[in-house]
Amino acid sequence: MARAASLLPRYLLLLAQEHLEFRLPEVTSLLSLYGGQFSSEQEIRVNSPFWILNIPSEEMARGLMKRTVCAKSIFELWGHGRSAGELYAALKSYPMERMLPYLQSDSTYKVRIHSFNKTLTQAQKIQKIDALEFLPFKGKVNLKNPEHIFWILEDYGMDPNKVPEEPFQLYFGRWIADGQRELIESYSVKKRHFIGNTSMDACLSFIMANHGRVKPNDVVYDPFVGTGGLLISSAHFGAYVCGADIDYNTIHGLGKASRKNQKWRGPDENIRANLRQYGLEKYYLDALVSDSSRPVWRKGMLFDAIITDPPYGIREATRRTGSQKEAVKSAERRWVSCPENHIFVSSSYHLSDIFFDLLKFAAEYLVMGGRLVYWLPIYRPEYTEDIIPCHPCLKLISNCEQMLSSHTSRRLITMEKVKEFKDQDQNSSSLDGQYLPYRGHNSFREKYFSGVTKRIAKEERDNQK
Amino acid sequence: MKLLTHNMLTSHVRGLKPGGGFPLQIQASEVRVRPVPFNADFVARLVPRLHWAALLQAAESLPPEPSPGYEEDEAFLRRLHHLLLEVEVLEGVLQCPDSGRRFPISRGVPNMLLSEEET
Repeated sequence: MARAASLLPRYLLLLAQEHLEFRLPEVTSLLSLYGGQFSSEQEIRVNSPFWILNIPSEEMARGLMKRTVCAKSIFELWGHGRSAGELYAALKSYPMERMLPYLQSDSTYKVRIHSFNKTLTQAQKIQKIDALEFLPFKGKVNLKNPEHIFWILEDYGMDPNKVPEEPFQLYFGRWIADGQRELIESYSVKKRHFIGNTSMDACLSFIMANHGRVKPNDVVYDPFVGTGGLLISSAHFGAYVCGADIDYNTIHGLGKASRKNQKWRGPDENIRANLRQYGLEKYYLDALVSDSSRPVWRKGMLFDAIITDPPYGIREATRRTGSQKEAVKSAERRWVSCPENHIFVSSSYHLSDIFFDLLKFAAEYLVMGGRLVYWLPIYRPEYTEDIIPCHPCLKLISNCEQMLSSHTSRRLITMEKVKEFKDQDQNSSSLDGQYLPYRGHNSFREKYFSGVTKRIAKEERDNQK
Repeated sequence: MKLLTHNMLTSHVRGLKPGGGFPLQIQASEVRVRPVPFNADFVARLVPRLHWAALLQAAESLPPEPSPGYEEDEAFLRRLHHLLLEVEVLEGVLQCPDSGRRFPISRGVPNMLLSEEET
């Protein structure tokens, strides 16, 4: 029988102040990976860096921190209050038997202080730490390498222009573990050997793997794999990865480099080489040249997660294989130059179709409980929740916005397969309308550039005067 | 291309009889064996997802089907691991059994693109 939230131990999660909307789904997904669920006695303030969570065990808290890139640290919460007085009172009523194991005379410790939205002087820090002398610390202070580290955390609010004299909230706790934010630097796209025009930044690609509940020994697939950046984060978490892309040159690592000052992609620039750069080559399964609107996989539940960033039609063309006739009519044409296989590739793949095909693909090829994580480009003036594509086999888990410009953004959509796929007539237009009532995605490219086009038109008019 | 991937790929040319596009026949002109660290749990997880008959066609050293308790049979898992993950077709062709359409493999990457007329 599950214990009531208020009986579970309390932990303080200290979060990084970026990608604010993405944090709660990340933490929730990760807790569920370890058999827990997101639980908090009070409403958490979603934009605050301080969350008090009820987590059944320290092991689960550590599990969370082994994966999260949104949270900096987690502490076993011993007390908190809206003033120093309240904090000390809370500490005095914290059960002694829970404190004593960490205050033993043969142990070492130190106390540190962190203030959010305010810089404290050294004197102030020392004074606040000294005020905790009433706690029964029996061990020896060791500033270099203590066994236990305790923290005072002070919250001076969210407004850098209105910093109060006293903090709004104070917390005291035992440090448990840090998160994985150092991965952001070590996997930075700046250092990666093989990139494309639209390679995903490292932090977001780890967030995607976390939203996708990727676990060791999963098989993760990216149907728009490009240079494989999204696969790297899944491989880092122990999944075996594969991907497909319609662009022969990208898959093979040929053609012009995306990196400035680099003339061509080196001989070993491809997805496999990217994984090798991070010691993750053993997780490389395969890459294919393939058109994701025309799946090449035999029927069955093959993938544990599908994590992808489909083309939006702005910096990479949206493409699928087309006939000669279609190609002559369409405004944009690209030859895929490969000696043995000149397949004519047209740009007439409408964005709505990409998502329809993607959801259908996920519904069919994901294992039950498997997740689809993908970016949806949004024209903000027309956005409502109804335009999020849906499918009867997939349940919407989260929807997080990242602004691109004043009138455009993209949303990270996470869906989970909850129902077995039945091969009915999936191509009927009635189904199409039901699952994708909004066709505005198709003109995303025009809308994205509409601000630019209007400005250029106005400038031309002004110049003609 | 690893044999694991081959086990999951199908031809999607238009007008095939149901299931006629699978499995693709491998005609390899260059094959490489590249060691991959053995992970018993991963290989065991793959077993239920494999099309065993297609795998048998591609390999000779396997039993007619996985026996119960395969999760603990390390010798079996190691043979399967070798086959699925360590054998790579670098150059060759995958041929659709029904239509005869040939999909090239170059530098280890299969090219599955069809033209509009074929789909």
